[in-house]
Amino acid sequence: MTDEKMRLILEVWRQDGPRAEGRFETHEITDATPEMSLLELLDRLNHKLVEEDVDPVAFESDCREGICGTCGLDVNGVPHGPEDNVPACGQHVRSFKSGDTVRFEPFRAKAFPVIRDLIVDRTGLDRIIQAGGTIAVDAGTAPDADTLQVTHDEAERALDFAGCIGCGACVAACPNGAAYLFTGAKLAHLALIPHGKQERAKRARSMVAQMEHEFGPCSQIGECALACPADIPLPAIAVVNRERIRAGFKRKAN
Amino acid sequence: MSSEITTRSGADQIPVARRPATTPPPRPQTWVLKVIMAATGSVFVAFLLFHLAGNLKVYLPDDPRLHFNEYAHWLRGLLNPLLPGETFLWLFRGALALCLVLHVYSGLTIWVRGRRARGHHSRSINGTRHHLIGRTMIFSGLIILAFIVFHLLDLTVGRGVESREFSSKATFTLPEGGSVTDAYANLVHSFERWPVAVFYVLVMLVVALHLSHGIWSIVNDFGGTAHRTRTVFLFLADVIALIVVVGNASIPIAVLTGGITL
Amino acid sequence: MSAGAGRKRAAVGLTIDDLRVVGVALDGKVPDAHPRDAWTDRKLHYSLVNPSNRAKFKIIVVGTGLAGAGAAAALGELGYDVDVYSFHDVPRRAHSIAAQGGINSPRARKVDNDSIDRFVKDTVKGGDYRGREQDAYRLGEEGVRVIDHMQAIGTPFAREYGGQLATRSFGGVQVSRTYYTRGQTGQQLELAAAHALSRQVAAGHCKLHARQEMLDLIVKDGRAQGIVVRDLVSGKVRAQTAHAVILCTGGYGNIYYKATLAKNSNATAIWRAYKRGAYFGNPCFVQIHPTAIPLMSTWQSKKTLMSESLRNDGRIWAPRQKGDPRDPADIPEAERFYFLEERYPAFGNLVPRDVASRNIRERIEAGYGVGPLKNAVYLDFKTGIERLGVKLIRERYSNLFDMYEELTGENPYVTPMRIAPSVHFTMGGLWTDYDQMTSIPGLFVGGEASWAYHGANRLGANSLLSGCVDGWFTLPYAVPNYLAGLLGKAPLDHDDPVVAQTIAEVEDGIERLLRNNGTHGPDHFHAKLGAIMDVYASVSRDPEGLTKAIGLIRELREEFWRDVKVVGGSDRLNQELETAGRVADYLELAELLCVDALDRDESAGAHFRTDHEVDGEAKRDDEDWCFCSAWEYPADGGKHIRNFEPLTFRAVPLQQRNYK
Repeated sequence: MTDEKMRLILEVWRQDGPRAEGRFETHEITDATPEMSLLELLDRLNHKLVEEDVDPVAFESDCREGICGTCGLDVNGVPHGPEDNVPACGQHVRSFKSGDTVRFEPFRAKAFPVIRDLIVDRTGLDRIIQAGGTIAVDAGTAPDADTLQVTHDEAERALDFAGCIGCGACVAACPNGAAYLFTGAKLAHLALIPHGKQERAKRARSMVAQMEHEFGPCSQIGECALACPADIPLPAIAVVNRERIRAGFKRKAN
Repeated sequence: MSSEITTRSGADQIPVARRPATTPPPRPQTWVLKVIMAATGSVFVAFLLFHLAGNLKVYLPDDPRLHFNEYAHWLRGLLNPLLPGETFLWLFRGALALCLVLHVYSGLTIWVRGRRARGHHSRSINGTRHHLIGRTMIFSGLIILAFIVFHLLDLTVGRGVESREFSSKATFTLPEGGSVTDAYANLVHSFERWPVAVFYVLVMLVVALHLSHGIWSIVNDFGGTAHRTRTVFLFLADVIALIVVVGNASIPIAVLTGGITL
Repeated sequence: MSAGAGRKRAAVGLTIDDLRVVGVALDGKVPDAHPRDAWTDRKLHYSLVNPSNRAKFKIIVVGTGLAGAGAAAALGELGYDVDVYSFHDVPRRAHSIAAQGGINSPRARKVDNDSIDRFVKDTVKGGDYRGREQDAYRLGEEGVRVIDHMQAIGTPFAREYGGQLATRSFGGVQVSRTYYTRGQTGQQLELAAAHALSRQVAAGHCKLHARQEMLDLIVKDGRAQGIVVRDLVSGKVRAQTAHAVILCTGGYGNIYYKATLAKNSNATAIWRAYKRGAYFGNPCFVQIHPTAIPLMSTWQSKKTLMSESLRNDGRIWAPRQKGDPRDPADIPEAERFYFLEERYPAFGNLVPRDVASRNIRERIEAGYGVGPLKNAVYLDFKTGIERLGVKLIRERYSNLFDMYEELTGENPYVTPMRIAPSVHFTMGGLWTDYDQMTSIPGLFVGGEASWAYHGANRLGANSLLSGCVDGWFTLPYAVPNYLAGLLGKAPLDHDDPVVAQTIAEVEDGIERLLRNNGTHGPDHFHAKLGAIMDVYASVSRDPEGLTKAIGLIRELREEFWRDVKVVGGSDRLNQELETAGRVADYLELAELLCVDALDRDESAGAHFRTDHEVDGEAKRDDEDWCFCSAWEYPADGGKHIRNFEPLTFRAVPLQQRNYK
């Protein structure tokens, strides 16, 4: 731990509302410390702004331990910040040098309209879920989970994909604004769950259709997997086509 | 039901998260376009390797001119006598042209949709080689499209950009009798013009980039998720791209440096 | 039973009698049957609603964590007309998502002699006999099918190589009943529940209102009939009426300012319900987790939990020398004090959470703390690594070690972790009867927001269980029982004067904050409150300190209303305004918490009173304090009113804890 104080120039996107014009505002923080997270750097800025009677910068965060997926902003053009596969709450000032400029922007994608400052509307992802990213089992009707065998490896593989925190960084990182990593992760996860297999084809049709409705196409660029704070593996993007092509050969729900 | 929402300031509805969109997704659906791209792309990869095999006849030790021209002649009469004359060649050309149209159409549509979904803001490049190549597929693709036009005009049709010595007439006499087009001479004459040779070399580099990402994308678009498949394809993509660039680009270089002559 | 006759005059002058009056004994409406059969008995007597009538009932669910999302989805599946409110942008952000370790379920498949009875014993004893035995039975009984259901709707529980569900032993119990998905069990359960809710939203049974914060409860004719919410984006204040309201809004641990809770977790919904007449149960029962990453710098926004499983292979120590400035690697073995191992030879580093927290805190306060702010002790894996090898340690804890390194920049394989206790969970919450209903008919509570199940101390991996059970398997039985009596009645008319009145009061509250024109933002006061709570109402409490704290809180509350500044307006997204409202509520709840701690003249579980101990162990007073304190809001501004629900124990006889 150090007592080192760092001077950072913060360029922060300010936008009053979805239809308002946005602009960058420049602020200086002279007492940043290396162990601060980038969100704490914004906390520091907001504290200063409030003391000066200025509206603080609106940004979202909640658990601040990398699991809720609420935080989401671009730092110097990169979703969440300079370190790969780390959410904004786990990105630290120590990635920068004193005197550096740190530019905070909202996630950029057509599907994520800005609500205010650094806050965007990411409900488009949830509309993909609503379209079919669910399993139709009512409370109380499930059979004994031990009677449904799932191999150790299948359970682990499902979890590799199920770890998605739904932050939207994959969309923000994608030059095409695509949500393939998100959608693929859900499709892969649910296809590995015993009851999820019952609606596998139907789900692929409806989720892919809804995804294409709001999000862009995938060009296998791979930025999404680098930005993903949940380490969703890149093959998730291929899962989208795998599941959709598979569904194309089926007329049934499964 | 009288449990409506009320407010002192007006009767605005609370913005409820929108229901899944009821309007259909854009047609043709993107996943279909991607499958088309992968399928037509696979055809092109096969064609390129086939084409390369023919091209490499210029390196055969004794009388490459004969081998090359014989090959060109064989191609024209492929599947004779099952199909008469150049029927196969034209079917082949027709299929390739259809693939090209579909590939370009799908590629452009995907690109436009991607631009639209991205919004107005640029993206920084964060990742590895594939990230850059992947993002520039549209440009490498358009360069290749322009090249295909050039290439056909230069060596097949012989119009506009062909060498002064170009001839589509059957001037090369085969040992067993009969004469065919001297494709070999046309090739050498064309590459003797150094800007053309350089252009071919550069375009081959672009083709290699396009291939290395394209072949890798084929496995994705066909839904290949298995680790081994993906690793193999990632490797194959680079190997095929390298073979194509080295094999093809060496020919104009060889012509310029005098390794291949008439 | 005398309902808490403790009278101790504290230095400052206030006595507990100046602060509270004792109210009435409450009926928890627990069935008379043996606790084991209570739930079966109760279900048999519940009224039902005909499927064709269900859509006529409107139910409001506030909160979309495990309990809220589960209740909304389950009621939606049954066919009720459900409106779901969340201050998050989407349901799945709720803080249930951050739970790491696992979910208990007494499925008892192994031959380690687990059973529902044993689960109840562990839960009741762990809670130090300050929760209902019958609640614990229900938790165990329904917990069996929770696993089946959550697996079916998408939780990829860890599996053995034979394909069966894997379990682990957790939280100091001697059987293996904790089901898990790596270190992210809460996430997988929450995602599954939120997805199930999404299914009902798509089906039209549930209507989702995201970015809406509940700011008041509408009570008319003694029944909860709706809520008032503020749209966090537009700032508009609106009301919605319904036949029943279910609060699943989580705990109030953020009252301590920097806890392991999410930044936005707050007590506003339950506190405003309390002020409308719902009783608040056992507010002083706050669990303090021993192994959290401590504060290491001024701007650190919160603490982060490190799973207690780390104590299986880590050894806790502090230097024997006060303020030892040396690097831990330079401190020889003889100068390290492995205080848990020495003081509790039988359990060593695996003593229960409250014991560990108290001992760590004692070391820190005595001046033996380590780290830049001298506020931590070491959790050392050196011995573990020597014994088991780096490979095995990495297999067991890599995600936690990585997280620690990500947050602190230090490598715990080489340098011992620095850990310190942190507020983590609140056992207290709105008082509910056995049917999950508060003292206001029509207002139900589930999950951490309620007082149920955990008594004075929660067992590890029981919180995910209680959230799931409440949401999926308790509320869907209990709420219809209430609704059945309302058949034919429409929800409260939105033109009703009570609705307008409640909206007006909320708007006035907002205006009051905005007009205040002080000098400091709300966070400033929150920090001050946290400091008071941390000193006087944390791991150990004493009457003198609590009395002092109450005085300090009152002063701070006055200062807040004199000096708080809320920049920006009310007609748009304004996070300062959101914080201000929450802090205002904390300042009131904090007083009640301290009054309850002062009132409860015994030690029980996490509530450790230094004036009630034997050899450093909590000493319960079952004769006078074997009840749940259910605090009633004094509408006239008088003393706090403490009602009480006596607790009786038939299946698990009262017994003193001892971990020595």
